[in-house]
Amino acid sequence: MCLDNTTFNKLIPTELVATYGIPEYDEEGIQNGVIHPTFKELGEYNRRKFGANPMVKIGKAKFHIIELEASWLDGELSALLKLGKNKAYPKNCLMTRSEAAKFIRDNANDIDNI
Amino acid sequence: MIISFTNVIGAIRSLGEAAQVITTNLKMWLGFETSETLGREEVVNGDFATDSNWNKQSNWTISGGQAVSNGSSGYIKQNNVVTNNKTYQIVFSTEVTSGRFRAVTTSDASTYTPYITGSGTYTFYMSPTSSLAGGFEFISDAFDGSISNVSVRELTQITPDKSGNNNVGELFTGKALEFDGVNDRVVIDFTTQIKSAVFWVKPLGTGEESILGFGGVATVAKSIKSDSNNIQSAGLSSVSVYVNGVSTTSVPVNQWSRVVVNFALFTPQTLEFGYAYNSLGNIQLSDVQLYNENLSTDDIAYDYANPNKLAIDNPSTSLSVTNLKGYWALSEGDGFVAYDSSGEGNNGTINGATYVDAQPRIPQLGMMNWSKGSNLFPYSEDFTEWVISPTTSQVLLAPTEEAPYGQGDVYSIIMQSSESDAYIRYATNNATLTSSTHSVWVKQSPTGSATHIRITNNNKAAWNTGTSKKIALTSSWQRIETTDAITGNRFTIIGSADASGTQDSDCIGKALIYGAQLVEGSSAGAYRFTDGAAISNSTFIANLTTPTQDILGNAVRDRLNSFNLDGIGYAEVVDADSLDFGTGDFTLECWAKYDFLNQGSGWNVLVSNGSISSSGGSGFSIASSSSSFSVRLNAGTAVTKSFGTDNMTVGNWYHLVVTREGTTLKAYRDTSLKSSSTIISVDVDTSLPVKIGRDTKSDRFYQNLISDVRLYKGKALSATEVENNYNAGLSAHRN
Repeated sequence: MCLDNTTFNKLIPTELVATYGIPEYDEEGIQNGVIHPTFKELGEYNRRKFGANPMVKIGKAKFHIIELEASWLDGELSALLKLGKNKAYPKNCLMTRSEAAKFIRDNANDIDNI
Repeated sequence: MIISFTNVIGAIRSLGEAAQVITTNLKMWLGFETSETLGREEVVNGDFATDSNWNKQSNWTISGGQAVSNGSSGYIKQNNVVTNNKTYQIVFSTEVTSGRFRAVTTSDASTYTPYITGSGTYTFYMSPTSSLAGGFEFISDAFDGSISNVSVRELTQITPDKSGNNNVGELFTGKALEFDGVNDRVVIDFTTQIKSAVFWVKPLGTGEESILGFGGVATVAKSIKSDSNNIQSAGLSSVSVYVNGVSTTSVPVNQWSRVVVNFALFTPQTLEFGYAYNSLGNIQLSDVQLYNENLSTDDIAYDYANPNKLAIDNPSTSLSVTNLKGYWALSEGDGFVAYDSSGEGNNGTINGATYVDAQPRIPQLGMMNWSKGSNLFPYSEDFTEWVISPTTSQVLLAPTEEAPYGQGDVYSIIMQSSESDAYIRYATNNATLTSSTHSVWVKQSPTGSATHIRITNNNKAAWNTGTSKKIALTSSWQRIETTDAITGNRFTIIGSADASGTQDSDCIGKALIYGAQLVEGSSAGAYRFTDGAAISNSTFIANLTTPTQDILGNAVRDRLNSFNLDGIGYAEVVDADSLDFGTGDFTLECWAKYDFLNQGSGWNVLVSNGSISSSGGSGFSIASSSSSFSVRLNAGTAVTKSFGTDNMTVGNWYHLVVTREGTTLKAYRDTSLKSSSTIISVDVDTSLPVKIGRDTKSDRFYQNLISDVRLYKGKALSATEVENNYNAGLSAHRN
């Protein structure tokens, strides 16, 4: 997903917390809840699993690529799609792998956070 | 008398080992002793021994071991020779009087050879991709001359067919890392001088795909990439590129290529796989090696011809293991660490890249010795995630201390005396554990007062019923471990308290700790750096300098000249008439070390030419289950017979033979007839390939050694012949 800078620093939609909430544990080592992360925190937490969150600059605007596995079940994909409502490409767009690769390549003169 | 007795035993053993395998009607024999980098011969009658198999136009005639063209134009061809997206080596000899000709694998002009105008022996490599692919032909352009000794063989990795037939086994036991070209890479802190890079790569795109990045930015960035089906470099000097052992830069997309890049000596600022400055790579990558010397052309040829060995193994090389500065097999299979097998200790961190299994052509784990990594629990290297006993202990990062393996963080644990015990602990919630070993590295703190430390393996369900061990701290790293057989969940506890909660006064104070580990078994084995994640059962190839150990010091599973399967890989033999038994007699035979891994099916398949579902198909399977080996034939209704459940031992060799004579099906195990019954007439004939280590289902892979897979068509071995073959293989398969 390609997120604008504002969304990247906001909390992920609540529909995704069941899947992507960051676990919290009690003193017995038993998970007793989850932290509701921002996209930025989630990206960093999953860096090993999904890879980095490349930041691409187009003019002064910053865009962050974050990789997720989301399902239509429980409204996960719908919630992600809503983030892009009434926004112009590439703000908060869902992208396929090849679309994301092309977007990064087309703006490869200034990639950060790889 | 004693001497005489010994001689008798020796004579018996000698007789057994002198036995020769029955070869009458033997159609396939995969010994798995060796592998080769060229597949089976795809052209039939390539030596033009007879005037058959070739479809030719009027200008061509076949005689005297040659195909002769009379100077007119036209083709001579065979159908169904090649398959798309594979690479083939094409070899032929020619005598040219006049005119010219060329070879083509398809109607796609990209897979024509150049025009041949002179006499000689020629070798070409072709990678057909056209939808018209399949055939192979020579096209005469007023060619007056002859062609002989035509060979078309796939570049892959096979184990040869010792029966003398063409039923070779193609190997699919390679592992690699896949980079998505978006945000995946491996990062390695690497600043050692190098002069060559060697790797297997499969470009998944035709654009600029970064393979290796050596640091630097903008115009001074150094890298190796594939771009438009060619290997290219940036920032390197005196560059020469070899692909599949020959001097070329061409690397087809979606196909594995072995690449050697020689260049002038330089020191990378860093090392990254799948990324170079502002450029990512959509590739699969395996077996990356960096040397501080250029590889000679002889080394390059050896490296390509021996994918399971290194150039330093070349008998005529001037390279030694000290020239190997980095070696990332990328064969682990899971986890986030790419281990450096060179001994230099430059492990890489995997970000996002994922493993792909069952790859052909690249180094084949099935033909190597290897071991599997230990089970670890989460946060084995991050003690801040552990539960710290309130007010009585502290855990702090000790950034100035070096870890035992030079990687990862060291922590200090401070055990106070204000309570009855002081500890940190982690709950290992694994109810399936039946026996476990807990371990941790410990060392005296230069600023601390603790002289001892404990590790305790405590039963979570019944506190204070575990085992505990205390060790005296020294100024060197030591490993302390404790084992018990408690079933279910438990705590790993590090600190001053024993299993009963009693505190030791000599444990009070500060100590250094690193790398906690939980192993399902009676000993901890070598430590495996995990970067905090919980991982298990990864595959590690053997240590370069100690062949009996993997790169982490674990004892390897010796391959014993057999096919070493990890539950994912397999081998495949292309379907052939010689492997379709019809309703006639046949024999199936193999040696296997008994094992069974429940992957969702009750079967792990050793040898099959179809599916062992209860209906449909018309194939055969030999499989293991939780208690025995079985054989199943399918012909609408499945017929299943057991090889017996008596005296089965996991890890022991068993000789398995199935014979069908008429309607009698017999199953022998180690020469004993375990089953004999009358069955309906079954037409054993499929168009599916014979598979070793699996069938058509994804949850029936075999995991252990298989060897000497033999198929006889038109012959059911007698009990005497079964015993003969058993004796012939006994010396190589002793328990």
